[in-house]
Amino acid sequence: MTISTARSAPRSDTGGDREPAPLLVAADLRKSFGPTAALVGASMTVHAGEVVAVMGPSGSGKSTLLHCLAGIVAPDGGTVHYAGAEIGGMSDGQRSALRRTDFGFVFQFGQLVPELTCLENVALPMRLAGVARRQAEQAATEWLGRLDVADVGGKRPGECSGGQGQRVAVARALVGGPKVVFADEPTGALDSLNGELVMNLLVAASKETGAAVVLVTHEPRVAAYSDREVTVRDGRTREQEPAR
Amino acid sequence: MSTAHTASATANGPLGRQRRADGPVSWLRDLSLGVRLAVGGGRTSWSRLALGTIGIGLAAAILLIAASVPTMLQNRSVREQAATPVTSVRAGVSPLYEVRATGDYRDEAIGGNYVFPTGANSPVPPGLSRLPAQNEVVLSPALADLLNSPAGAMLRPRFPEKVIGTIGEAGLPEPTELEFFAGAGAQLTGAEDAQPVYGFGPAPGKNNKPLDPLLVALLIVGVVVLLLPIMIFVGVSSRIAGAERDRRLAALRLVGAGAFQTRRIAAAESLVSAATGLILGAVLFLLARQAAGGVELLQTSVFTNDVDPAWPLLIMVIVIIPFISVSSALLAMRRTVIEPLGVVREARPVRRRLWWRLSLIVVGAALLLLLSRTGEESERWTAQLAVGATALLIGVPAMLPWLLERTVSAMRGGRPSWQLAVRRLQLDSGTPARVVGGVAVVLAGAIALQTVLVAAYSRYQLDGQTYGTTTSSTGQVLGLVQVSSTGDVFNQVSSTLRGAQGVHSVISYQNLDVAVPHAPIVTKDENGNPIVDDTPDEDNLSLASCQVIQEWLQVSGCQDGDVYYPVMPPEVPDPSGNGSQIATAPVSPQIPSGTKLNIVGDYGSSDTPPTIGTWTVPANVKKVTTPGTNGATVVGDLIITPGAFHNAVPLSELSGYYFASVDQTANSVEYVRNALAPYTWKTQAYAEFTLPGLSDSQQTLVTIRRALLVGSLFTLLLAGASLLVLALEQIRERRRPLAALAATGVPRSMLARSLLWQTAVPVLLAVVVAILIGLALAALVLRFTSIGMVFDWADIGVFSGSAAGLALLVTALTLPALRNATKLGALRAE
Repeated sequence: MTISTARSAPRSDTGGDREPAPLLVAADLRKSFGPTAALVGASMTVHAGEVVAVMGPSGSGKSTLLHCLAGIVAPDGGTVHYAGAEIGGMSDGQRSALRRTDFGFVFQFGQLVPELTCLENVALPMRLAGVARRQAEQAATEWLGRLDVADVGGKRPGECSGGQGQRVAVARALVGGPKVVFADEPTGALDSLNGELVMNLLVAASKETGAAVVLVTHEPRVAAYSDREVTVRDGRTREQEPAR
Repeated sequence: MSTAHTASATANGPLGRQRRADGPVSWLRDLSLGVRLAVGGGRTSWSRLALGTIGIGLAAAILLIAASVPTMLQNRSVREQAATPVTSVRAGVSPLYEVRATGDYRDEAIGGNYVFPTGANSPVPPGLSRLPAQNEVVLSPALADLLNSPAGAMLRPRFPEKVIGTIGEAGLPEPTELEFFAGAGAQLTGAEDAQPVYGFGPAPGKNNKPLDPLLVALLIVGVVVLLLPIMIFVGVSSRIAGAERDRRLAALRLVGAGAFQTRRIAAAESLVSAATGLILGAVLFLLARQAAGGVELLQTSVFTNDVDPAWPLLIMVIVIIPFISVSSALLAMRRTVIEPLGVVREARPVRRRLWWRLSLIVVGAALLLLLSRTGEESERWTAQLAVGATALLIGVPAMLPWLLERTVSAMRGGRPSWQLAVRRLQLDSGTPARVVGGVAVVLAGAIALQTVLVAAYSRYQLDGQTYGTTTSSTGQVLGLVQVSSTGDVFNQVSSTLRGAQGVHSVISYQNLDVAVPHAPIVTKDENGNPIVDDTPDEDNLSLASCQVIQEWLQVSGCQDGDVYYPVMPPEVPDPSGNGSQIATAPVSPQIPSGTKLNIVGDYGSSDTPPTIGTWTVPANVKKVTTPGTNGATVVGDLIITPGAFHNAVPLSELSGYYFASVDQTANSVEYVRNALAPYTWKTQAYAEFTLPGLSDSQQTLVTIRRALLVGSLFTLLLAGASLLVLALEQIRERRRPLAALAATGVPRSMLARSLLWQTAVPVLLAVVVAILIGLALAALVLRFTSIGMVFDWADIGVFSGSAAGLALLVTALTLPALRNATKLGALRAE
């Protein structure tokens, strides 16, 4: 295992005077589900390589914010720009391609395909992107090893423990070399020990690959892994540095 | 870590990669992923695939059998045509003389040909390796089997000839036909019905007459109605585990699969079960094909080789099943956008619309109501009837989803098991409604036909009671066997019959066909020109001894030389109660005394029959009233004793007819036939009475009713299989919630009851709708007849009871799956 679990400061380009352009910018996002307003003018930015925790109580709109950032849910108002391009203006195919190549996802549960083995699940994003199977599975094996779950590669998700399943999900999120990993309550279904293990691996691996992490959680213990926190309350955002 | 290999995947921007994702390689990759998902998911995938395969396999087998029907008809027609005798003279060919003889054994028809070759090159009928010589016989396999079985014991005396072989497939339209070719002597060439045959095969220039287009249309309509449940079955089978599939596809979307990619993957998944279903269907079809050879259904049987799907239909089945399967899977996704976060249904489920569903029923009923009571002969009338009935029947499965949705949406409260079931149906009532829709359409059709048949049957039942029997002097009710013979053996047959086992008495007479001259009748054609008709009327008279006449007409004092004019009794009410009279005796006016009648022979090939003698009606004709319906039917406008006939023609030229009074047992008829066996083709015997109290028409009705019952119950079973598949799939799909319910202390029995209600509610609704529409259709059809509506509540009860039993059976069969699903281990799953 080569991953370091040490915390590091957000990687920002300090070589010049100019502030580097943010990777992901959400401005004045609004989203309602029927009569319920989930987001009412939420804004936030994510820079390359940083870990941003989105905090807030249940029902505050933090998951909706993550889904809008990832282009999974289209906001009713406002914009989301990724690397300068507005996600709202992209076609479904372009957004799919973005998820395939530039984004990775780790959710609480339900993101693995139960019919496929863990190895196949990890290789899936690359296979969908047209990478040859052998090459994709080689990379998947590598990632499973790095996350210490190489032994479950041939098993189906249903045969793994919760912690193993989440590590497989992390491997799948990172295998394609994403620029941003979206993690929605990634430790919600895990005990504290497994939760800590998964968070250490997720943060360390993303730091190593240079991927930014948008981490939705309501647990301060999990948020402590972040470089910066954004609090969502009643659909509005408020940015703050973590109190470490 | 090395991420070099990923660099190639991310080298292009999203747009560039999307273009590649839509290329043929990407298509293949998506399809292979779909296949992988369909077969590679361990037990879950396999059980899902197995359920789909069984469902589609059953449907495919039935479709393949249906696709073989044209070949069955075609092959049968080809064999029939190939065996058609060619009677036109062919130079250089020594004709084969042939006389057709038909008869019965028990309820089976037996037919055969007595043959005599006049030369070495006489034609050999198809299916025979050589012609049988005198005292030799070739039997059809079914007849040979019957003769060799205990059931054929009474038939054996009729075939004393040496059996030299069996008739091959080429010589038989159907494998279960009881046919024979018997060799005869040279005297056959002079037999009355003997025809010289110069070959076998279709007459030159005579092609198969194509089916009437209207008949084809009717057939198509019938096939559509019958195959509708099968199509529904295929559709349902391909939608198995729809919610699970949606979740799976959502997970794929999350990692970047596009919407079209997702659809391709879903299509490939359903294609797998379509392909495996087709393979299973082919295997089931081949098994059924082997079993079909020699099996008789509705007095029809086919050779194994005939059960061969017609190529165009075979291709259609191979194409249509995957097509229905894929389109059904994609249609199921139509309202469901597979989104990366899971299944996002459209904001509010669209309520099912009533107008188009109801319009089918309204249009169907209107077409039937607007049919005039006359005009049954016209094609438009028939087409209107067919379209109306079909629209009404198709309206049944169309209405059910709407009706079920409305019914369950109005349901509230109840016990927890009921509440669980109702809530589940409120969530998704479409699939169960579609499944039971298939059975409802068949049930409605079956109930309609059944009701029409029962109404018809009620009339026949009354008719059949008084015919074909006679009461002896001791009051014993005896059956009548009607026998006919050629004239040359009249006296011998009379005495043979009188000596036959089980025969109590015999009325024997000979028939005279006569031409009765009349004064010219002048009419006018459409242009006013006179038309004179002086063509003699055709009539028939009977010749019988005084002894016979006294018994037949129940008169006394008959003397040789008498002539009788029989008239029917003043009133013989129709037993059916329709008020009309039954003609049991001639109603022609008496031919005046002194009229000179020409006695005519067989028409042969000419338009007018030859005159073979003359006879003049004497002066002293006695008018007598016939006994009515009891006893042998009185035949002939005049009944002449030999003394009054003066051998006007040789008696050997007059066909003989006989009524033998026998015990009302099946064997007594066979005794008569066996006694007549030595006369070969010269005699025929038919039972006029029926056993046990059923006429041929009644028997046919009973057979049709049974077939309908069996067909309907079979369809019910098919629907049961659909329901079972559906129930098992729902249990499997809802493993977690079910396990969670069990974990919180909900008894399994309650969950089982909930499953029962889930199955029973749609089934019950389907049966109610089927009964209502079926009876309505029957009432509309019976409007055109004088027959009143008769409800056969017993059969309707059988249908309803079977449906209820089906719901119970399906629930019982799902209990093991439920027990597995509610194990707490089911809670632990990805």
